[in-house]
Amino acid sequence: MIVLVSLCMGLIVLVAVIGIIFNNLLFQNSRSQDKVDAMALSFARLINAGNRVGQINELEDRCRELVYVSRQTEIACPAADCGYMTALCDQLLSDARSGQKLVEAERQNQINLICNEVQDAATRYNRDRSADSSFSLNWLQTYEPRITDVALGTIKDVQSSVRSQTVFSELAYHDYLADYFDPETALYKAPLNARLPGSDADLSFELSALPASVKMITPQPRNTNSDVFVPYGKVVESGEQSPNSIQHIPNAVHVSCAMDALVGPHGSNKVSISVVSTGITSGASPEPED
Amino acid sequence: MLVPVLLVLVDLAIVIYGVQLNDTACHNAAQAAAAGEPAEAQYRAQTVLNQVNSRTTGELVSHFALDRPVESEIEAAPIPYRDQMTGKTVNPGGVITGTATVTTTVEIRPFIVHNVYGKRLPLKFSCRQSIPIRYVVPMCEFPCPSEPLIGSN
Repeated sequence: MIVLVSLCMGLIVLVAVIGIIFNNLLFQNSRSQDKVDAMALSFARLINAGNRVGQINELEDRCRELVYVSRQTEIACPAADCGYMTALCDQLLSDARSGQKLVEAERQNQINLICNEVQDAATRYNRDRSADSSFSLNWLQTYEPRITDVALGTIKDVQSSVRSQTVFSELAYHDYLADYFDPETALYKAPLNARLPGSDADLSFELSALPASVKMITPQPRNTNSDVFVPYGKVVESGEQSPNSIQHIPNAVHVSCAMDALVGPHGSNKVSISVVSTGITSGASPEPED
Repeated sequence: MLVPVLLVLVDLAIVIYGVQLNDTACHNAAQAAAAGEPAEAQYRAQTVLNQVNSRTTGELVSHFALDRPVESEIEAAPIPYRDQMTGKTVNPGGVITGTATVTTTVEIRPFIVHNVYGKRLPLKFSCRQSIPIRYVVPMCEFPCPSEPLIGSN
């Protein structure tokens, strides 16, 4: 009888202890998820710091319009009996075209800056995270999540933050035929190389995806479903910084972490639990004339 | 013999449950604090805890509270300036960067485990969480006389 009672007691205690271990593992996993969500949000915030992505989009759009207008003026100059201004028109066109190179160089610079800043933040986190167990029982030890991969990219179906202007009706019609923008919102699609028609088709005007402001309200940075993330490339791979191969300015970041856990007596079994999160940066700030 | 062992196990389960509830409440309060105007972070966090308290019945796990005021650490925020053309104060709007840190406590009343902790009831557990602020200040083109100015003569 005593043996039977002891066995029952032992069984109950064993089940309870296993339940507590499992519950704690899930709890630690949930805490890690919260932590990685916050991390993804803070990384995402770096991308459009000071509305730099929105400003680059505006610059690309304005530069494109300037080249278009300069070309139109250059074509109209001789025809409109203003031949004496041809040299000036040529110079204006040349200036506008060289402006595109400056904007493109700055766009590349911003891509590198964003990648470097996210890489630095990820490296700093991995370096500063506590190597000690964040939760320790004799038969369960869990550790703070460590970053394994960080990918930059965009969110599915997010368009650019700039709208097609109807001021230049011919250009707007060309863009409409080329399916450059969404007729309902007038927002240019992204990522998109909005090439100009005619002689200036050699220039590229890269528009980046970024949530546009709506009625003077800027979209907040937030966490989002990882299924809608479209990667451009990785900036951290297997915990190490990887060479920058990204061609477009990103607007979202996908963080993959591993939470190590030692289970069993004296931590005999090591398991890594994957924790992922995606963050999207803040949208473009409204322009005063919006 | 079996009853005390079961009571200890039940107590452990209650403590674990309470700590996890407090963790969730703290996370939700921090999320709320980080989601809006930093000056009103305390109010939003307290509202979340009030909701949790109103849903909690019984005395085993109760009295979720803010242990200290919400700490909003702002790293950068848009600075209002005076528009020289209109003479009005304009807040250019933009993202506030920083973190909102919330510390919450919960009171747990186990059956016998508290005897190990000096027989003090209730047992108090605290949780602290930091969340990046994700508030975007809207652009304000109206007179804002109470805000600090730059560019004013």
